[in-house]
Amino acid sequence: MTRGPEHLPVVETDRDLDDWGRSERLSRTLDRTLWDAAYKYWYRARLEQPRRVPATGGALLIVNGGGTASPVTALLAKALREKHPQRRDARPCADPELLDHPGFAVALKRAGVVAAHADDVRRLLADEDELVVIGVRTDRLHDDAVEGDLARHPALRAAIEAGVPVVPVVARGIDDETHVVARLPLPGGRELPLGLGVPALGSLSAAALLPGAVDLRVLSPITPDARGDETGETERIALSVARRLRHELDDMRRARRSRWVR
Amino acid sequence: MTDRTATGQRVLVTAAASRIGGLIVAALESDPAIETIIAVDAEAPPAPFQRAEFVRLRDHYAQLARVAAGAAIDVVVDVRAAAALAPLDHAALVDLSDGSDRILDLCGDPEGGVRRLVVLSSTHRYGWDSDLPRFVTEQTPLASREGGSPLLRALAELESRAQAVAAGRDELGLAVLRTADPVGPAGAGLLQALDLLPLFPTVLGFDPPVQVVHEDDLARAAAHVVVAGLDGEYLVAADGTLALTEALRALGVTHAPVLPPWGTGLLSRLLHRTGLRFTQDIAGLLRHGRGIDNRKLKATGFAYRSTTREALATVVPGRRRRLALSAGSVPADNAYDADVEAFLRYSPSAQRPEVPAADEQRHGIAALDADALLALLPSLDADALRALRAHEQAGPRRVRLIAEIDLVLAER
Repeated sequence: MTRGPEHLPVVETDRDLDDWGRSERLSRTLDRTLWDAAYKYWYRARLEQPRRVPATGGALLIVNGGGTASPVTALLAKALREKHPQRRDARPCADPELLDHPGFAVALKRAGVVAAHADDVRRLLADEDELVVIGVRTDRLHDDAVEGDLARHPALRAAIEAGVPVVPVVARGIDDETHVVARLPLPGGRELPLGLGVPALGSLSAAALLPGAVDLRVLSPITPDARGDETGETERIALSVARRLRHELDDMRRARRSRWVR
Repeated sequence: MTDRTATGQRVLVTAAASRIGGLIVAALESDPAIETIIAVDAEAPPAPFQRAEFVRLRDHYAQLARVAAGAAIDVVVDVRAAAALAPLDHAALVDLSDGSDRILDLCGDPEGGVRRLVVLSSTHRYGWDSDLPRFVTEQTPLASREGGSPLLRALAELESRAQAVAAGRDELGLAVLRTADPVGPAGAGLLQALDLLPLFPTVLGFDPPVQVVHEDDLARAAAHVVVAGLDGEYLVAADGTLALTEALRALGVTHAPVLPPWGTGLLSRLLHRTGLRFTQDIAGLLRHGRGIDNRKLKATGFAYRSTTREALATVVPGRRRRLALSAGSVPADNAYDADVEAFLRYSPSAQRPEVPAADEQRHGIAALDADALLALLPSLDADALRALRAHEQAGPRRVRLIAEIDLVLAER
C-alpha cells in the first residue's frame, strides 16, 4: 500500500492552473515573450550536451549562477524546452521564503516555480517524473560552503531519497556580466549585491543585468546510491557536483575571450 | 492493513443525526458486509434510517456503554468532529471532550467487545505553518497544539486521546481519517465562514491552495475504511488542488483582495478575542492554504467520485443552505419520529416493506447516477419533481437526491 504515481490526481484538462498553481496560459506567454527574448537576444544562450538530461523520468538539475534575483534556472528551463530532444519542461525551484512574499507568491507559482520543500520535490521527481532545477551561487561552490548550503538543500535530499539522477549544469556568463562593486550586509547574514544595475530590485534586478553570452553545459548525470545513508550520500553528491561545476566553470572561463562577445 | 473484512461487523456511529453522520450511516447501510448499524446522537435525526437503528443518548453519551454492550458492537465510528466542522459548529467542537470520555472508556475497556475505533478528524490538524509542503501527507509532522487555534487544539486532543487508548490496548485497531473540509448542502467548512459578507475578502498578493471533499465521498471513504478493516492514518480529500480564487469562482462567490498581506495573524487573534470563531483558521486559509495528498487511501482501493471543483459546484449558496439546515426542511411525512419507528420496526401489526435487492434497485430511474439526476433537477417542473421524489422515496431512497428535490421545491 504505497503512495505511488498511479494514484496521482486526475488531470482536469479544462483548467488553466495545475495542482501546483502553474498557469498554462501564463507559462506559455512568458515562454514566447520574456524568456524567448532573454534566451535568444539578451543572453544569447547556448546549451551544450542537452542529451545528458534524461529523456524520461525525474531528474534534479543543479546549475551555478543562482541567487534570489538570478534568472539562470528559468533560462535553463527555457533552453531545455528549445534544445532538448524531447523538449522537456523543467520546474525552477526557489526558496520557500521567497514564495511567501505577497505578489511573488502568486506570480512565481503561476510561472511554474515550486518551493524547495523536500516532500514537494520528491513528489515531482519520483512520482510526476518532472525535471526540477535549482540554482547555486557560484561563490558558494567551495567545499566549506557546500557543506552548509548545497548538502543541506531540501531538493538535493529529495533527489537522493527518490533515487533520481542529479545533473550538474555549468552556466558561464550568467553572474559575471554585471560587476558586483559592493555587497550590502542584510539582517540574517544575507548580502545585497550592488552591481552596475544597482540597486537590486528583487527579481526585477534581473532585467538590470547587462546582456551577455551565456553558455550552459550539461555535465554527466550522477545516479545516487544511498543504501540507507541518505545524509552521507547527499553530502557526497553535493561535494561532487560543486567540484565538477567549479572545475568545468574555470575551464570554460579560461577558454573565453570576452564576457559579452562570443 | 489488517484483515478484518469478514462479514458481520456490528458498527456504532456517533453524531448520526448530523448530515455527515447520516450520510455515513447510509453508506454503511448499503454494504452487506455490515450486519448491524447502531446510530447514536443527542438529537433525533431529521429522517429515519433505512436499516440502521437510532438510539438517542443524552448527557454526553452517558449510556453509550450499555447500548454498545447490548448490541455487541465491535466497531465504533466517531463522526463528531467532522459533523461539527461541516456547518462550523463551534459549540459542538468545544463539547468534543465530554463525549470522548465515554467513547474512549468504551473502546479502552479490555472486557468490552470493541475491536476497532475509526475517528474522523480533519486536515486542520496540520495547522497553517508556512513551512508545510504544498501537499501534506500522512507523514507530514502535525502542528503543535501550543499556540494553535481552538480548532487545532480540539482536534489534537481528539486524536491524541484516541491514540493513547489504542496504545494501551493491543487488540484495539485505530484508524484516523483526516478529512478536508466536507462540502455539500450542509456547508463548505471554512470557505463558508465568510459567506454572509457581501464580498469574500482575500489577502492581497496571495492565492493559496484549497482542497475539499464532497460529503458523499467522505461518507463512502469512512465506510470503506470500516469495511476494509484499515488501520492507521489516512487523508481524505478530493482530487484537484485549486487556487483559492478558483474555488471561490466555483462557489459563485464574489471576492476581492482587500486584506493587507501583513498582519493577518495579529488581526485574526484580535478578532478571536472579540468572540469571532475560527478567525485564526480563516486567516491560515486565506494566507497559506493547504493541498492534500490523498493517494494513500486511493491505494487501498478507494475511488473518489468528485473532484474538488465538482464538489464545490454542488455547494448550494448561503440562502439555500440555511434552508437545508433549518428545522422543517424534511417534510413532516418523512421526518424521524421515535414512536413511529418503533411501531414500524417492532410491532407485529406492522408489515415491513421488502427492501429491494441491490440488483433490483438499479433498474429504471434508480439506474441513473445521483449526480446526473441532480444536474437535471432545475429543468424539471414541480409535478415532475414531486413524482421523482415519490419514486425515490419508494425505491432507492437516495438521501442527497431527496434533500435536493426538497430544496428545489421549496424555492419555487
